[in-house]
Amino acid sequence: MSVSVDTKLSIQFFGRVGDVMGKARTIDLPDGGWTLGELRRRLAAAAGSDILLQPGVRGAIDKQVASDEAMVRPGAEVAFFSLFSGG
Amino acid sequence: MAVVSRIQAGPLHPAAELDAFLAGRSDDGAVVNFTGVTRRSAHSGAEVASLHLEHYPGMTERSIADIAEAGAARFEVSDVLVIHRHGEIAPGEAIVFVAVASRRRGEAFAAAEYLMDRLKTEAAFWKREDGSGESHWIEPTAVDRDRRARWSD
Repeated sequence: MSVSVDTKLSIQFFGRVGDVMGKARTIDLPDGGWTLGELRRRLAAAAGSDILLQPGVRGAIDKQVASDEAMVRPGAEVAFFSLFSGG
Repeated sequence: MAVVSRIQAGPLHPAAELDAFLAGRSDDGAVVNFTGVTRRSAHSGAEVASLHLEHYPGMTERSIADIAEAGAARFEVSDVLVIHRHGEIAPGEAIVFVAVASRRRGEAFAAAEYLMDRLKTEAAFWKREDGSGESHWIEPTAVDRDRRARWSD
C-alpha cells in the first residue's frame, strides 16, 4: 500500500512581491506535485493577497523562469518575483 | 577569448578593473569601458539616499553571464568583462563596469553598448530606491526598453 506523504517546499519571493509575501514561505507539497500555477493560486489564497496573480509576476523552478503549466516536484527550488529591474 | 562576468556586494573600483583588463594587451587596437554610477536623484526628482539591488543567487549570475556570452558571440571582440554590484549602493558609487577589447573600435563600442542595453533591461535584479521615509521598486524605463529593442534580431 502506498502512502502519500507531503513534502515541505520552500518558496522564495523577490522584489515587490517579497514586500507582500515575505522573503520566503514553506508549504506542504503533495508527492505528486502541483503545477506552478496551482502553487501560485494556493499561495495567493493563503496570503490573502492577489500580488502573485498580478500581470508580470513570474515564477521560476530551479532558477529557470517557468510557465504556470510546469510541474513543481518535491525537492524543487521555487521562486516568484516581479519584473526584473535590470542593472 | 575570455568572457568574464561576476557580481559582488562590496565596492567596485573601475580604474583598477580597467588597469587589470588592459595589462599585457598588445593585439587589440581598442578597449572600450563603461561605468554606471548611482544617481542621487530618482526619475521623479526625489532624493535617493541609497539604492538596494536585490538578487537571486544563481539566477542573477546566470542572466549576466548569458548577456556577456551573447555580446561576445555577436561582435568581433577579444575579451568581455562585466562586473555588477548588488546590495546597498550609495549615490556616487559605481554600480556596474563593462569592458570590451577588440581589434577594431567600432566593434568594441557597439559591443559595450549592446551589453549595457541588455543589462539595463534583463539583468535579474530588483532595484529599490530608498529615500527619506520612502522606498520605491523601479523597473526599466521606456527609454531603456527602446534601446534594448534596437538589438532585436
